[in-house]
Amino acid sequence: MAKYVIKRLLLLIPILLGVSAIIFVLKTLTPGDPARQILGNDATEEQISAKREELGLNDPVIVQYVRYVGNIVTRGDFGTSYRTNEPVLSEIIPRLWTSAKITLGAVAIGAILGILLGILSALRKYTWVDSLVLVISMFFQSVPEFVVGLVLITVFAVKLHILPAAGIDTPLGYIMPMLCIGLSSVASYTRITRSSMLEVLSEDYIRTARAKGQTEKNITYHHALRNAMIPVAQSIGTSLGNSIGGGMVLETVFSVPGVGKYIVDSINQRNYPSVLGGALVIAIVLTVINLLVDLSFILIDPRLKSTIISGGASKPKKAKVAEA
Amino acid sequence: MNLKKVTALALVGAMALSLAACGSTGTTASTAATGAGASGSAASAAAAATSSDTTGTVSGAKGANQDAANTTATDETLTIGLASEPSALWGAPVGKTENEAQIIFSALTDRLVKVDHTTGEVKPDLATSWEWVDSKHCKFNLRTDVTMTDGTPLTADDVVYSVSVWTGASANTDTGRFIDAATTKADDDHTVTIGFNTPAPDLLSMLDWSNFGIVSEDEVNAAGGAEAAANNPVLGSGKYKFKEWKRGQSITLERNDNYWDKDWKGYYKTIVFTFTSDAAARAMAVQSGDSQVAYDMPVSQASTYLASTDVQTVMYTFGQVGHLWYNMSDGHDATQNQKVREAIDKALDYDAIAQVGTAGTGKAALGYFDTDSKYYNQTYTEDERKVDVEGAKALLKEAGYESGLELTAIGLQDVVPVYTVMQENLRAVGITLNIKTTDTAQFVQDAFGGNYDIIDVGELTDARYPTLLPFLRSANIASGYVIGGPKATTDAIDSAIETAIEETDEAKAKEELGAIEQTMKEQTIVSNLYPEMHASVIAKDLKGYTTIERGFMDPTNFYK
Repeated sequence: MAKYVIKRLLLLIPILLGVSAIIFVLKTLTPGDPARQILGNDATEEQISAKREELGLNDPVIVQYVRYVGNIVTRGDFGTSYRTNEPVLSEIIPRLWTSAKITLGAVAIGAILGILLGILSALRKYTWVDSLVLVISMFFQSVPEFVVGLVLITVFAVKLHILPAAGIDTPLGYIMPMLCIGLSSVASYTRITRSSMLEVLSEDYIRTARAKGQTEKNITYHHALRNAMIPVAQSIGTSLGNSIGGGMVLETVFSVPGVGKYIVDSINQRNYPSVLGGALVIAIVLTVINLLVDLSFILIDPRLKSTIISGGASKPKKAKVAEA
Repeated sequence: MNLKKVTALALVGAMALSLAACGSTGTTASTAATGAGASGSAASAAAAATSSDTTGTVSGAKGANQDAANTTATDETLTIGLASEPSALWGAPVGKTENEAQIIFSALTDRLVKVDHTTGEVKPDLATSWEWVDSKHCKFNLRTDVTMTDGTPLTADDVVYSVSVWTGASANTDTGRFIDAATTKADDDHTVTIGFNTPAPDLLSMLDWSNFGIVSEDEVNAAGGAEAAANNPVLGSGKYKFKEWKRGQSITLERNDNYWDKDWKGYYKTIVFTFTSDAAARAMAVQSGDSQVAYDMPVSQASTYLASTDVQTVMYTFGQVGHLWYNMSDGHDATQNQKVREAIDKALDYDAIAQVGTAGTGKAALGYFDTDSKYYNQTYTEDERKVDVEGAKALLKEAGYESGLELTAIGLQDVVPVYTVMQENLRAVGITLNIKTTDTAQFVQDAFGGNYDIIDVGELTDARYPTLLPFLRSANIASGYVIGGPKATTDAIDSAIETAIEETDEAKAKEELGAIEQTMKEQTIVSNLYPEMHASVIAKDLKGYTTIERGFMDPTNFYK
């Protein structure tokens, strides 16, 4: 197991090198001069040129890249923000925590609603309830998150005055961003739960339980649900990672000082150290979360241990259900 | 109810919600233009590098600078939604001039003079009086009852120190480059002479800008030095004091209850600035009661709140006119050709452009300067601004472009509606206009580099700052130090601008500027478009929307 964890952590190196290399290439292709952004429109060409030299922007891209990676490896230095002159990492960490709180809340909302709807859908399969659940969940998946966001602001802030329209000065400020991200993932959890429940409910041991006179409630919640939750748990793990960096638009709409908004603002400002730092931190977080999720599967279902540690040579049965 | 009916109902519901969503998407699309709009204004303002403002009102909207002064102080909190968070609050030591920082910093410090933004008159602030010693030196007599944040009294040395900061790190900005620190001196404790690098009587108006706030060296040192104080500005003698900056969330100021001007009453004890780049979300925060001001709304978006009974819409001109410049530099053969420029000038529907640019509230500009400026000259008659398609076609034929030509216009998202009208106007005479919209960073690069055939850039024209008509100054063009413009000029124009800026007689200056405008008209160097506007959405019971430099909102005078 330890060998597997170390192997996965070592995989971070090529991932981070790849992410940083891609952003460095994009940086060279993107118009807009960071030196001009720092010095403002009043700066003369001489000053711009001096600033470019100071920042090392006149060096070949490969030289800049090696210097950047070297600073991270040797000093843990992700660079300094062009805009605020503060270390990038010190700006990202508090924002990452903000994004993480919203992500956890959003995944919880999405998973709870999705699982409940999925169970309902499975138990009422091929009825109008099943169809309605499908329509509702697909609706929230289809409508862009920022539209849902504006609708929620209109309803809960403008009309009902029960939630703040923007900002996270109070805990209430977290509710709408969480709801927006959470609702968009309801469909996915619903479908996975439904498929998984239907498959489990058709298993022999469920039939045996029925034959033994178990109540439907007992069968559903004690025998079927626990086994059906394995692919759902896998999906939750994946969502956690995706949502961390995926709330960029919503963080902008709701003025949430998270890492997503930080990256968007930095892109607009051509604040490359912040863009790079933000992307790398997200890559690290994603990789670590994926590792933790994989490890958690082993705890949930020991049968998956050999599959995961062998690198997924054979896919777990329940994962197939999830993708069906 | 059978499955088919349920499904049909659900689909109808989904369709209705989708249509609602489309409406919201539209709003958000304009919102996306907001940030760009704000940046565009900043770019224009920086390019123009002029200002103070004059105020106009739009029918159905509240104007700025209209309410009587507040007379009550309360313990209430005012929340103001800004479009973006500044990177530093005190821009001078770090060489920055960000709009949001200037709005906030204006509340923390006083300047030597202040401009009455209703009349344009320069009035005393920290200086009780002043006199020009010569064309480059002005002597100021300071108030004796002003206390800085550290409790020490204001002295002439504080002004000398402030000048050294303006001209140090900010030497490249308008804050620094027109001030001569070497000849600035304290004559006694309360008299100071400021030196300028260039003669320009209207420089006095520029000293009203918040970047020229007066601070003391001791309080700057107490804050950890100038660079540290830029982010922690416990500085100045202003109406409010800096309290807290929660990065990414808010900046809080608290009323200065020991403010020297006892005639001023701050209604709000606390002012909280929040940062929401989405204009729709900013306005919704006002509607919900979370904030009282949604500052810097796109005019088109703000106008949609005119009929609302929940909020007030504030729309006002501020002395900036939008101008369409033709790139006359080498490599732009078409726009280098005067006949082509004349053809475009004749083909444009200025009334339609003004309507689109001001959300149906403004009129086409008939001069380069704003109508409220004391230097305004009407250069065109209304007849001359009428569309002349046949005349335009004839000119294009004479220029050898009868089979048509293709031009490129660059701009931020907020000018797209205006460019779209131009695109249609020009299509009628056989010109294909490609509209290239970019984000601010690329726009700045293209505009500096002259990567366009035509460009819409505004200039603040209420005073004769040393930067007046920067697009036609040869030094700017040679160094690339100007956003947009024709990228070409003549010695005669260059020299005439300098003379007009230095002229001490205002009436004569107006004549000289009129002559320059006539030259611009004869050579069709620029087409004047419309007076640009600022707009905000504010709470329905809020009063006291006043302005500072460049039409920026003054956060200190709001009351209920």
